[in-house]
Amino acid sequence: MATDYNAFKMAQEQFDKVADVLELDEATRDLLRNPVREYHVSIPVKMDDGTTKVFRGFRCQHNDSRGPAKGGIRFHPMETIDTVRALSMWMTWKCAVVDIPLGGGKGGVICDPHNLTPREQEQICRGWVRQLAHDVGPLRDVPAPDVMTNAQHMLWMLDEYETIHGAKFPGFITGKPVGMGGSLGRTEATGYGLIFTLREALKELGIAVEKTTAVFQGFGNVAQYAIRLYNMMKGTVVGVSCWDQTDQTSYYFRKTSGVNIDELISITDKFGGIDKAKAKELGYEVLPGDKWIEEEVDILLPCALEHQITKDTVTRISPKVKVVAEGANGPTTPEADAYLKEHNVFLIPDFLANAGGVTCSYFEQVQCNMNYFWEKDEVLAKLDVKMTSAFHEVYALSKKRNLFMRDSAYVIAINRVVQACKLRGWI
Amino acid sequence: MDFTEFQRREFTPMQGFSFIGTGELGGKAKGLALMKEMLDEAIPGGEFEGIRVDIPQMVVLRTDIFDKFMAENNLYEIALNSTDDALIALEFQKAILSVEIVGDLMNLISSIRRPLAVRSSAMLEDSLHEPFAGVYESKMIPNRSNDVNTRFKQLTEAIKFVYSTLFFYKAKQYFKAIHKDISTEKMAVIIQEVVGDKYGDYFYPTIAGVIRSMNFYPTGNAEPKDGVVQLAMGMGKSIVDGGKSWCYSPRYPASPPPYNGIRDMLQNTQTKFWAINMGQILNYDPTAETEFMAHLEISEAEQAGNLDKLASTVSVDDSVVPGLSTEGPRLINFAPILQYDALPLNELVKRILLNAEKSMGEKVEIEFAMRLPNGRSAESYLSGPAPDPRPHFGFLQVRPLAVSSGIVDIDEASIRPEDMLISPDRAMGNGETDEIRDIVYLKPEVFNIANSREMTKEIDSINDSLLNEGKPYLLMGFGRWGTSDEWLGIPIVWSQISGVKVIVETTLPSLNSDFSQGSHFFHNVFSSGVFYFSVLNNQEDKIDWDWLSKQATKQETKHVRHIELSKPITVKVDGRSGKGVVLK
Repeated sequence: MATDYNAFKMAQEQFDKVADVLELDEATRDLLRNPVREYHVSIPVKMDDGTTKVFRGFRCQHNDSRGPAKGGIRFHPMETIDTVRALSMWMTWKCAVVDIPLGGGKGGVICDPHNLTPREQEQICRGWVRQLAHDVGPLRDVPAPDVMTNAQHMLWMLDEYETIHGAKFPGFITGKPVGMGGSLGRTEATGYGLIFTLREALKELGIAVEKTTAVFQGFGNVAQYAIRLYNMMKGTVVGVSCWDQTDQTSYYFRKTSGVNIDELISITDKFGGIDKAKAKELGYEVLPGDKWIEEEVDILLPCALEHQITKDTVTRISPKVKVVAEGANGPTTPEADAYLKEHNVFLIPDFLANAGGVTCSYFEQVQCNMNYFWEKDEVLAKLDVKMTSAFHEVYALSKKRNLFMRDSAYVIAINRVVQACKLRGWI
Repeated sequence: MDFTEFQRREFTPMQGFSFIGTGELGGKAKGLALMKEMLDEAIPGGEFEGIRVDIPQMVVLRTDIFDKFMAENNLYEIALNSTDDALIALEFQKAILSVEIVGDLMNLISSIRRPLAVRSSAMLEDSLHEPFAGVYESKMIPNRSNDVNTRFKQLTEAIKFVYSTLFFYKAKQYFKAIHKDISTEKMAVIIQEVVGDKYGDYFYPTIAGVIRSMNFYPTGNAEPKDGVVQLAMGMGKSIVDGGKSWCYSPRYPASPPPYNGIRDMLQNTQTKFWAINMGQILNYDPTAETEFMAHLEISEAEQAGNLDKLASTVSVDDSVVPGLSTEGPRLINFAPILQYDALPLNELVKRILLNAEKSMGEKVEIEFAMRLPNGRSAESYLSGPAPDPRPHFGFLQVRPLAVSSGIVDIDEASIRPEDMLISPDRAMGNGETDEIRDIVYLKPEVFNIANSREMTKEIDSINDSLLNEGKPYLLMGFGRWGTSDEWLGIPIVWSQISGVKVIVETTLPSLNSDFSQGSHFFHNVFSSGVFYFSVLNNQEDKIDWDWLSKQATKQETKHVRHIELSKPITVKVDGRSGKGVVLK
């Protein structure tokens, strides 16, 4: 996005750091610092008012040595190619760390769906596919919903793709509704996956989950399902911070005896904002949104935005906090990482902790390619096994080489991609 | 012995006793934990004269998993209100197991490729006063597929099926009879390795057995306190379903049960056995207990070399020759083992029985399975360690038998003949009751064994109304109660007579079969304190049919008459002597 912060630069710096640890040669670094392919497309759309508008779109395939590229499509007015590049690179690492046979991709269109009618959005979706129909697909690059895109956008895109290719390709795109090629368990997957890794971390740290307290930043889909599973395991959530669309600020809702997820959802609006007045009636304290980070709990779960734990905020974290599990992408800056490491806070890095979503998307694609769909408990069982295995591989390496968990995850992921590139004879 | 929490990463296939979840372990699992301690002491080193003895490894899903399954899938409404077992089973199959445990189950099933038994271990199950034998179903799964997803699906479907059986009709009837609220019951589930070997497409133990501390039908010199053992070839389903088995007293192992000659023996000993079908399954039905089971001819076991120690041969002159050395019909009488000590099984049985009773402080009933490796199983173990060449005795279940401590004396001399309603040849149970006013009996004048299935429905219906009214009753009929062979008696199951207090089985000239031997049925009869009378109806004065026919009819169906008396009858049984009496 158009800020001073350049995501792609940051992604490259993260890669460089691990490349040094892995002592990668120049050619390998050069290959992996950049997408292997990127597409810039123009999408002309006849608007409802009769005018024609041209939207700019992108698709980056960062690396597909381990399988078809995989990544979402974002609709955002401030979208930039560098953001898409960075996100496609992170998708490569995310797929590699959980060891699913997919590469990294990401796409986007510079547009604001808030200002577009459904028909106009449909035209953008179909236009994007028309431009890229021969460069994406179940065996090349598999898109998915992302920022401001949803299952409906995916179905428009799928329909256009199938029309162009004259056959049914349900595995072309993921995030479809159940019954239309979607997978059961996809809604829960990211939140549950986050808690699967947290559960394993607590086991390794010798902490009984039922004796822990936690606070969540964010109250979207990820946080809601994560809270649900964490509660099932008898952990206590003492607070939730979330965005208030009306006030254009965030609030922190605290109940030290433990928040009730169903109660909170019942007073949540369609934007994910919690009704302050009703929350107070139910015994919640309503505090400024950034107070979540100061809470005296065992676990912090940032599940909202990037750049929330920074060098300025990290010092406000209570010494009681033992684990930070990143449900959001990039919530912690490198400076804050250093502080957490120094203070022995156990970190479950974002691209491992929130990989449940892409893992389930992979399951969706597998099911679509077979045209045979699994029961929900089967999906969630596979998800649990995948996430648990991934966590333990990362943890084992971090212990073996005395690495911070984020570095350990990067080392595993990048090494897997490097090996795939080498085996293919690319480098 | 303590159960340890299931640990995925430290887990090697089915080692030890472990659990998943929180809550209760259930009656069956707790009983096995106690028996593990007993075996460690009674059978040092886990070996008895060359026989490996242990409890097959198992994982228990504790009761909180059941609670979550029920709550998360909103199953209580249909489970408690529907009387359609098939519908309940289907709804349970559609539900999903808790996200908290599915990963553990996937991990478990990934690491083991041996057949598994999925059994109930409900909280009330197998407790002293509520025997629950056979009230819930178990399920065997082959766990054979190369595809871990297929195996996972079989496992989860089996768990859901076992859960659903808590709410089946017969379970509800049972709860009604023991005055317990079924909605408060919780079920743990045991996932246990099946003892056996694979021969061709089938997996089975060579022998399955049930050992009881008390002999309900002592014959010859045997006494009730000597206990009784039932043996069958293959899976134990043959015994627990009341099928044909070989019954003997551990004190007199060489004495056969009473048969009326060789023909009778051939007809009433095992000719088929149950096995797990490891081959292709043609009918997918996760709601069927026998989905992965096969009922095979004994010849299948002979071809696999598994009858050598189990069978005798009936020669052309109708003599019984132990072993298979001659041509002729095979008789599954376990003679090589019981008469010729080819295996010290009976000595092992006696030691286990003695120690299990001591450990439980009660009379007990034990189920076991045994493999006798014969070197012909190509795939005894599909994974894991190399096959153990020793015979293997797997202790599967223990449950206490309730024995009344009351002593009743029957002074036959003081009973006036006109007061006698039923004078049995043999009586089981112990105690006295004078609370019965209802008598349900099969009408002798219309009795035809060909209609025995119809009779079960009529009795079931009357049982239901008497249960609802909370009235115990006396039930009387012809042939073997609870037989699975509808031509030998009344193929009724316990739930259809669950309100009964006294059962009388008698004979007719047209139906002179042996009295019932159904083990499951009798466990309930015995443990529920039901009096069981056997009357050889060859003398006029043993049953006063005339008096019965003159009593007021409460309800009458095609084959069954229900009379309600103005004053209760008196029933007495002296368990020590096996004598009993029913007085008007």
